[in-house]
Amino acid sequence: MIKKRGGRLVAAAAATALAASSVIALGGAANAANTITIWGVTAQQGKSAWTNVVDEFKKKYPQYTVDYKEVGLSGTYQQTIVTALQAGNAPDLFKVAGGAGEVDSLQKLAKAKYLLDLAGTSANNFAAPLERSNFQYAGKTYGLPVDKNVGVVVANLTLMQEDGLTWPKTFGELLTQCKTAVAKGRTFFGFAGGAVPNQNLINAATGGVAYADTLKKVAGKLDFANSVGWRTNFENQIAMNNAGCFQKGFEAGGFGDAIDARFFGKKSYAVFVPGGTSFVFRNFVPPLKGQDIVTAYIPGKTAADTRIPVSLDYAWAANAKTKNLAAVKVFMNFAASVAGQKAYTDTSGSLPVKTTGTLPDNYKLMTPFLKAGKTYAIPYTLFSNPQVTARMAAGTIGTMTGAAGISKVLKSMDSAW
Amino acid sequence: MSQTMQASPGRKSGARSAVPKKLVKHGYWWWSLPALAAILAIHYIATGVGFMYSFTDYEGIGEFNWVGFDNYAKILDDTEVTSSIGNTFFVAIFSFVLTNVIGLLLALALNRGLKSRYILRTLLFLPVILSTIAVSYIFRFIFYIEGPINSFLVAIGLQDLQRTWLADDKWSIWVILIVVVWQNIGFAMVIYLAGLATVPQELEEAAAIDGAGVWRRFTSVTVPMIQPAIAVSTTLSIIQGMKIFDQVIAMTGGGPFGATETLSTQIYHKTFEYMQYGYGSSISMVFTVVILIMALIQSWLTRDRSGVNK
Repeated sequence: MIKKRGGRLVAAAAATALAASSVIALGGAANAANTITIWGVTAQQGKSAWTNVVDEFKKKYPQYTVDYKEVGLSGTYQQTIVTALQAGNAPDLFKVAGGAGEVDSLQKLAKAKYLLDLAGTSANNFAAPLERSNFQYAGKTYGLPVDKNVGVVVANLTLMQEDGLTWPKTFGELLTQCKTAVAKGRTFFGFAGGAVPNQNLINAATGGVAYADTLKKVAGKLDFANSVGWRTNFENQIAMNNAGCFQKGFEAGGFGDAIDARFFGKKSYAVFVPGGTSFVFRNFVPPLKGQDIVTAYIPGKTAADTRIPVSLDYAWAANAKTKNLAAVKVFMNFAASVAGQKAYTDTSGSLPVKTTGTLPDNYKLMTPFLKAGKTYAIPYTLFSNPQVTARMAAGTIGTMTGAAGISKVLKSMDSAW
Repeated sequence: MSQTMQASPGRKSGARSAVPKKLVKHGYWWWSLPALAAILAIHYIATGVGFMYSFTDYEGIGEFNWVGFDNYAKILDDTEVTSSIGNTFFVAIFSFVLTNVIGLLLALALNRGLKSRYILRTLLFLPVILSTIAVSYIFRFIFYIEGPINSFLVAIGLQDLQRTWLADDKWSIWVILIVVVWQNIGFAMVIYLAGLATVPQELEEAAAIDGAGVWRRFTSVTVPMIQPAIAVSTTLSIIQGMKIFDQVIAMTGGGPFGATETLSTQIYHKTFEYMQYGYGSSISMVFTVVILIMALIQSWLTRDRSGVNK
């Protein structure tokens, strides 16, 4: 008897649970089309630009429910998104890197069929023809670039003025000013030579001379070992080192030393950081408030030779398995709009992909070059794989310290290619 | 004493039958199944999958192709890997020798007699419990260009010897070795102290009465009796030295220009930074075999030879 009664109770409970789950499921189905999941990257300082875009989207499209998560800083994010895509639990929209050189690079993910073809959205062919290849794979667009990065050097012109200096117009002037800076008890640059990202950035800054040869390498028409441009790139870095452009012990220096201690501490005029950082430094770093902090460049052999690096690096991409295609398209169209691009660049300090009008004051040194079209894409963004970039970065410190000759570095880059 | 602990065969069997079965049975073999399953899944299946990937061009994402022994053939032509083998053996052998010699000397010094031996043992063991990464960052500061080492050199008038230790292609590997030895000496010391505790004081005293000097007592009494401790300590230190990773990543990242790369850091770079999972797996497999061979050779050399004369 007890057993029978127990059986009835179980059956009743099961029926109730089934009915309840049906109601929940129906409710869920009603909302599913308007719900999108998004992952962004956590900012080193202040609010994340990815978060700001999502916040602005939510304001403009309140009918959509956004499940947004900042996954972590860049390295953590990259491993997490790749794992999630493989496991099948990635969000509808997420950040990727352009090209093929990073862990979360768009072309690798598109090749593995994890990304949604963005045909039919504003992301399709959004970048200018010369800039769009990093966001395409097999002729299809898989990413919407979030911003345009101009320059990889940030300088304190006020500090330079105190020492009677203005930004150098030629490479020779730069070397002379490096010696002046040492005489004044400072160094021209604070360089985190022990940090791989900073080793990359110095190559982005000095790599204008290697851009043409990199294009030839991509086309299979030249080896690094025979590249005059790449040899000059490393020779220029050695010349800068010999002129005392970097602080003592830069080879093992970290960001804390280069940025916090030297640049914020006004011991160096400039640092190698993404150009948009000038906006963050001048507005949010107390010791630099009121100072003329600008995005700058490494001058060419002559003023006429000077080119500045411009790159589109990061992008929004969509999950090929998304079940919320309509909502994803709405988000992509928003991110490509003036409002969407502004939402990102207002926080990052970088420029919208389709830059128009007058640039902010912190870009005043760069404006003439942008107007004249004297720009180059950062050479290592064109490399075939991350190992080539790693050998270039190691080569910078290796050649400066004498641990390796330039020929050895160039050969190692060829073998990694 | 030992005789009183040995039961006669008849008594043994009688004791067994006298004790109820339920009271002596402490467990069943199948209780260990969860642990065995975990070990199988975490260690052996993972290693097996890695072995499989070593024959592919897998990039960590997407599909892969079978490439046969290409990855293994590539290892021999890869100068980054071949030079890292030299660094690995350098650190492994020197840390093995220094850790064990210094650890044994400290154990001998702190074994008996010294009043402050307990506090000294604790102090010397402390580095072992510290995080390797934290220790590496502290040493990174110590060897920094404006750090205490260079300041000390200036203070004693040896400013010409100042250098950027961790970016110097000749010295950086020595700095890493110093950190490894400093942190592991305490562990070796504790193992040797445990071994020395098994050496009866009476035996040493008897040898001394028979005219054996300090060195003779050490080689003929102490060393044979601490043979198991020597085997354990040397085996662990050679394996630890071969696997060195944290210190390199935290202090130099493998630089300058590969001067401090080891096999472990190479595997990490190739697999996770360069996305060459297949190739990284093949280096891992070779590395596993190398460690296995080293450990077997070392175990054979330090084997217990006490049975030879029996």
